[in-house]
Amino acid sequence: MIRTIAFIVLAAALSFGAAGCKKKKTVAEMQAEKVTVFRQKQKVEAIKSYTALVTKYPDSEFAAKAQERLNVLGPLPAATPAPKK
Amino acid sequence: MLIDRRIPAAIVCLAASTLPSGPASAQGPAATIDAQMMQQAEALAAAGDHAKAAAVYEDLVKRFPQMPIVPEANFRAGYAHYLAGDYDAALAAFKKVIDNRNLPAEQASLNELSLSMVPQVLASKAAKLPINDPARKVALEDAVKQFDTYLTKFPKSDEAESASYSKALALYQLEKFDLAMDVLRKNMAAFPQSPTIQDSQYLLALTLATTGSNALSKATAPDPVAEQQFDESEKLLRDIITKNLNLALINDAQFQIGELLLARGGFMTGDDNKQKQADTFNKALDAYRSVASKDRVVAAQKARIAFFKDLMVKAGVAKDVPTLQKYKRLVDKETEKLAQLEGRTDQTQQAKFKTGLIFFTQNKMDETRVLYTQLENTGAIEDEADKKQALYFVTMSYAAQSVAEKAIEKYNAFQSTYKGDPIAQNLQLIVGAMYLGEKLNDPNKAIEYFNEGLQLYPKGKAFGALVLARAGAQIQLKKFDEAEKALKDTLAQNPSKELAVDAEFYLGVVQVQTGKVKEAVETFKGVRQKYPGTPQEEQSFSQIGQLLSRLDPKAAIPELEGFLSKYPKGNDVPAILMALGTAQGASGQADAALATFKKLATEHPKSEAAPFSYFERAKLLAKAQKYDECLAVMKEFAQNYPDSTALFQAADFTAQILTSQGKGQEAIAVYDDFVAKRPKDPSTADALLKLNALWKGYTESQGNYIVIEAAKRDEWKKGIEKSTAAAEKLITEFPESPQVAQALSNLMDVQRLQQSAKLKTEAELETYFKDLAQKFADKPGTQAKVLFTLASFNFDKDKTKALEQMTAAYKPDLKFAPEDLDLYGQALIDGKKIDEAIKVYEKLNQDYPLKGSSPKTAPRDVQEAQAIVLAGLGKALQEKGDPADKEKGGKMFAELEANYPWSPKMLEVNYGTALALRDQKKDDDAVKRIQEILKAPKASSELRAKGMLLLAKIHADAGRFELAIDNFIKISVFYGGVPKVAAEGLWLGGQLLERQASGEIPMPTPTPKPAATPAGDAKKK
Repeated sequence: MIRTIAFIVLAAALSFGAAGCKKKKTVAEMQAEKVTVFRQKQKVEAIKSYTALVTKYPDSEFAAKAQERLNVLGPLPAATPAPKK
Repeated sequence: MLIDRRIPAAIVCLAASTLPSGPASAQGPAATIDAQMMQQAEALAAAGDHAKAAAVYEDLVKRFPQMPIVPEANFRAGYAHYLAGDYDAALAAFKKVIDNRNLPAEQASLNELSLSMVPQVLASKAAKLPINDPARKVALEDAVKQFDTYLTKFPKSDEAESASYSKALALYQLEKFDLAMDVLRKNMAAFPQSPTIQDSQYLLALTLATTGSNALSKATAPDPVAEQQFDESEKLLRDIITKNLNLALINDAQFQIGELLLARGGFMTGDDNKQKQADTFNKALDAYRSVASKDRVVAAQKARIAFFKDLMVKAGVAKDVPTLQKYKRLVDKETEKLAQLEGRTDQTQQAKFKTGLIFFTQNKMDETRVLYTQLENTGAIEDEADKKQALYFVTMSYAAQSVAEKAIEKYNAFQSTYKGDPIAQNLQLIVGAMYLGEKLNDPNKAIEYFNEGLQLYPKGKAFGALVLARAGAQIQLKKFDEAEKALKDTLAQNPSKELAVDAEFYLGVVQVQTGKVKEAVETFKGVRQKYPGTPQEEQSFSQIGQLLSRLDPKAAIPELEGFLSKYPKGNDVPAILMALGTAQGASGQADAALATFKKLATEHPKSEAAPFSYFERAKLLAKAQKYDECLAVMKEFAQNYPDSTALFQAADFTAQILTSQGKGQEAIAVYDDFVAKRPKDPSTADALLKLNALWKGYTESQGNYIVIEAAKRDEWKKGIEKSTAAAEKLITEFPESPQVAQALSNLMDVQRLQQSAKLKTEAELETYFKDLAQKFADKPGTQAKVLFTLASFNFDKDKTKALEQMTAAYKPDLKFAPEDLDLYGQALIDGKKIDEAIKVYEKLNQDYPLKGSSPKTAPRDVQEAQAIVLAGLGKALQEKGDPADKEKGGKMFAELEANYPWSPKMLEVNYGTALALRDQKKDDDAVKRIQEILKAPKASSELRAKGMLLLAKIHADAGRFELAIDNFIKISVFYGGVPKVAAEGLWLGGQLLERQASGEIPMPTPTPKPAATPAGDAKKK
């Protein structure tokens, strides 16, 4: 138990130290990052939408088009694994 | 009006039999010539050439003025003139005999005979004069005086009976009925055994019937004296038939019984007398049908003459001169009657003619028309007046049945010959009314005929009705001002009091119909004040009270009580009591209202209002939560009116109260009882529908079948069985009823419940409906409804399949329920078969046409169908996509909104209008329409889904991409059962998301939050 607590404290200290050592981002960089994340998120949502369409309404006149888009957009990015406890 | 069709029997005797019959040869040469002339004249008279016979007699008198035969020649000349119809010459000839002071004793009887003939000639002269000719009255009065002179002078004469009869006839023609009846009764008492006394009995019967008829036509209340007169008249006529002495008279009596009963039945008005009237008319028909043909009557009359001749001969053989003379006179009288019988038309034709009149009165239009047409075609109608009447009735029958083309053809034929004839005073009214009927529904045409009637008969009996009918047509055309103006114009022309009171009263009626209730009350008050003592005063009083009961219940109460106090026996008393009870109820006087309604039910149980009073009492008691009393009142109603058409309402009211008390099974028992007792009643379809719904509710109340315990499962299944049985019974026994659609919908719910309980598969559900449809192979309409129900089940899941099923069930030659066709039309639109959809809606428009009436006055089912047509066509045209069609579709929606704002189709209109508004870039207005749809609890899932899709598109167009995406994507979440719209939402949402992902649409800038306002500043503000 004592070893575990010590490991957590150390890890936290290291992460602080690493951050503190990075170069501070500019507003533009931060904005660009936000846009990237936003676009990535919207792409994921689009894929979800098309996937739902193709799955739920395969007979729909839009299903084929949706499938084409899915082929272009590729699969959903893999989910980030949850940290092991 | 009864008319004596008999020509008065002449008091004729053969003067020769009273005259000395010395041999002509004994009188020398001159005597021989005069005897020869007498023989020549007699031969001419016997041949029927009375005018020439009279001339020969007069020539004889001129040539041999001193001969003893002259008085006889004068008498015979008078009699010949009489028979030839030259009454003045006859009177002059008889006068010569009467004025002859030197008549030898053996010729004294000529004086008596001439005296008896004078009034007879006067009466016959009068009979030939037009009824309105003043000379007729003078002649008749003179005849009565002369009869009196004769009867005073020869009270014991053999001719006294005939003279009294003829005097009574003259009095009858002078309309001195009481005097006539007195004379006839005395005659019957004085000569009971006379072979001709039945003539007096017959005339007495006619006089009694005429008096009774006259009295009843003026009566405002029951007239027992008149009824007694009718009874006595019928008894006297039937006595003539029973005694069976004289076929000609029996035939006349049969005919007159028909006339009497026809007239009497005409006075039997009101619902209470309907059966009595029908019985009376049927008796009249029997009497008319018993009238014998002319041939039979003539033959019988000839036999009667032969019988008297035989008696005469026997008296001659026995040298019994008085008896011989008596029978000789009888033979002469009966011979004259024979001539009359031979000269008149066959009485069976007249009887048939009258039969037609009864058919018309009994509303048997086909029978009326067939009979008159047959009589006309066979040439049986000879009399011009009868021809006119036949054409009139044929025209009326066509008009009453709304056979427009024929009615107008006959109307024009009538107008071309008898235009303006008084008989047709109501013809324009009936023809005009035909155009106001549902079948033709052409108020403009109706007005043309009403105007013609008003123009042709400005003082006619139908004037008031024509003015009102025209006003009604004008109201239908929304020409309210014209209607009022016409009535006011009529009043401004200083019309007669009868017209003025009608016009003013109708003005009030028009004001009521146009919703000007306050003005109407004032108008009726004016009528009440200005025309005291008229029927309209009473009606206006009644109207004031009844109108005020809606307008101002408190103010109405004294008016209504005033009416009851002034007209305690008035016709409107039940309606007034109803209004009083309603006004008391609305004024918070529930106890008084209950008492008034009870009084109405108790004292006027047969009135139209009485049954409704029970429901009013029940409502008041229900409002006071006195449910047991309420149920008792409904039970009382059912007992007192076991045949009422409102019996279902009573059962329904009772069942609803029981349901509200949680006594569902008792409510079910009430409907079960109704169905068992009245299996053929149209309301039984309603009762079955209620049972169907109550048992369905019972099943649902048991809970989810899958998780409930076994005992509840049994009840669940029982509900399913009972609900299904009620629906199937409804559909089987009332396949054409409007309740079938709802029953099928409930049946589908019940089937789906079984499906969700895993007791049935979807395939089994389909099989059930297909089997059900098969049961109605002989009723394509019902079969189609069943198949349409099945198609609607598939509609959301598989529109293609649903459309196929509907297409298979659809038959263009059948008239479908509007909502069923709408479903089909919608499926066609969804399947992009727009032109076919348009055809379906156009057919619906043809099946439920407005027929020229305004949309708001058409029957409700037509209005509902028209709303569906406008919504369907509007949608189909919008779906076509080109601007012109879209605009046309938009106009249809606008028409729907203007004319049928209450229609559930308005939600679709809101959607269609929103589409049009979006095209016009009026986004804010479009959004408002969409929100109406999304808020409406009755909007279908599909409509909501489409609304949401449109809203998303509007947001997208306006650059509100986040809102647009949100709406696009959520359609599939909320309305996944509407696949087409949900898929489109996902596609369009995905497209927007992709555009955002690609950067085509920039990332939204977060809206800055408003800076916090200092507390102090907020307070200052």
